[in-house]
Amino acid sequence: MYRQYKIILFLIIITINYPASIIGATVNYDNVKLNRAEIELKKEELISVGILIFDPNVPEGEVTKTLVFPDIRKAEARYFPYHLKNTLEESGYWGGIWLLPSSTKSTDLIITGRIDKSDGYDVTMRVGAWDISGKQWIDKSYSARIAGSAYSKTRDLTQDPYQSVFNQIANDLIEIKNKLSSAYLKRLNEIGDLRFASELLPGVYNDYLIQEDKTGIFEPIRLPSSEDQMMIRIKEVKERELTLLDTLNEYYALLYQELSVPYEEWRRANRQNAITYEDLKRSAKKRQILGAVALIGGLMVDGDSNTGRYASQSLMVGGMQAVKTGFAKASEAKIYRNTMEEGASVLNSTAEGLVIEVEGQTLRLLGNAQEMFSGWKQLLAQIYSVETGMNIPKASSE
Amino acid sequence: MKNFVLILVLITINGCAVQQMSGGLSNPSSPSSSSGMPSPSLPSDSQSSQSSSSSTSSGSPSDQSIDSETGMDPMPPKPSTSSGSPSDQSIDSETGMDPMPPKPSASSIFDDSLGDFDKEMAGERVVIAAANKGSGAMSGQEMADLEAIMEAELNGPVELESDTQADSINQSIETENIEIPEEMTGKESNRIPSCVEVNGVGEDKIARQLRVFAVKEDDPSIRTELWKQYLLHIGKTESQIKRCIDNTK
Repeated sequence: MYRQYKIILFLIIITINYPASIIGATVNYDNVKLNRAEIELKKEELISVGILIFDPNVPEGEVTKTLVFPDIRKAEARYFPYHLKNTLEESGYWGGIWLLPSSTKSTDLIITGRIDKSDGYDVTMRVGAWDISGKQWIDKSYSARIAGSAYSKTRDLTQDPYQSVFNQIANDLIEIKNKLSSAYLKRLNEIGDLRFASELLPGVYNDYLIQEDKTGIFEPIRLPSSEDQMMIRIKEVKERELTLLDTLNEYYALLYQELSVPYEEWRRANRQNAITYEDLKRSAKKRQILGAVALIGGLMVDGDSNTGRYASQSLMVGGMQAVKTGFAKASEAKIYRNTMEEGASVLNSTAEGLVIEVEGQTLRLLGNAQEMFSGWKQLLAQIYSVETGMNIPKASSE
Repeated sequence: MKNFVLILVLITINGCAVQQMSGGLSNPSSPSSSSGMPSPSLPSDSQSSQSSSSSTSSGSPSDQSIDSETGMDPMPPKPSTSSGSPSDQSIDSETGMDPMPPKPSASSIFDDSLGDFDKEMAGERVVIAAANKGSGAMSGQEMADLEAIMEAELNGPVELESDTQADSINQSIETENIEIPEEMTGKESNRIPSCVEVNGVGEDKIARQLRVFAVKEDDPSIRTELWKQYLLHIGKTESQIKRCIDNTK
């Protein structure tokens, strides 16, 4: 009997105190500083970087259930890599950096990303990086919980609220790069040129490279002469591809600029709503569970004695009250959820327009450029035949 | 009855002929040299140039190069000019036969197309810069980029083939000395807004480049943006620019 009372007392204390303990949980916010180059790096120490548009990773199902807004995600898929580009540029450790609409062999390092979560409060993205030889640098998930101060108007406004994540990605890449020798970086440039050349004239330049079967990593067997006229022309074409990327990046910059203010406003508001919504949801669930436990406990108590009856009634009343407040909290959470949906719908339509605009321009430019590149490819083959008096040999991989 | 039999025989013969023809067209294994990717700068694919060189096996490597460089369909070999020497060509022109117009080499087509691409990209960037800053001027970096690209365009592409280096140098010198108004066609001169000096007196290098760019631009929206940049560069106020552009329209 005495033991039963102890259990009931324990349940009552838990029922009263548990929600308070949840709400009072402390959260740690990381503040990662960007590793910046102290001196200007030599040209040989720089490599070019291409960051592919991130995978928006929009889950299947209705927006009301997932709370992932497709057009905001698509805009984020361009906004995040563009900000990562800015962050990498700010570090001073890299050569040219471009946001890429599709994979290319014009840059020495390719970065890919996938957005797993982004609601202004929590951000998670998976990032991978591979150099042009095929060697993997990183394949890692980055997460951060965003502090309210990250949205302060008085902060350095060049710093994104998610800056810690971008700084961490940049620092990881810098750490790997700093471990590589200048000779390796130079070789990357050479492999990059050869892989680009192999795309244009596979029959001529495929044999300069070998790809290891197991690792898939490319190694140069020999290098063309510095006076190889065909290679000089190919580098001219490569320059044009980079010029095209420069132009495309101007369009992405427009999207980035036009999106930055409304997107930050949305994140700030959504963060607060997300915190409140999560708290209310959690609180509602716990209250409902503990209320149900108290009700079961009240039914289990032996009600023969006065004390037992009193305890049983207390538990029943307490349990009922907990379940009732649990439902009230759930209703309140639903209101916040609706607020989040409404807040997102405005940005969603803005983002949709911006993404359509930039994608339209990208398709137009890429379409024109593709025609030019096909033409150059054929012209180079003709020039090769003219200059060497030989037809292009069939590529070994063809 | 005889007529009927005759008609039947004729129909049978014609039917066989039609069947044979249609069978030939639908044959998937028939060679098709036009299956290459479309390329406006390249009239024929390399396969055709290879076949031309094999069909004129008695010709010198230079004969091959002419076919390949022009990218034109190979001309059938003329028995009277089988040696294909340059003197033969001059004799053709002297005798009043249709002379072949000088065709650009693949190398020069390549260089020209690089220049065209640069021009296109520079135009894009001007439009973006205008969209980005509204009525504001281009940044120093953008202006420097534009200047570099257009300078390359004005000077002409660098010839990489040693035998054409001299021509290339002459070409670039000629381009440097071009008086723009003399170069302009009627269509191009109509593209100059009324408020802009036709002879471009006193304009600096960047303004000159923007002018050249604008008069050569076929797209009216890009051309308008280029003129806006030109007028901004020469120090016109926004209201002046607006008036000038509106009058041109």
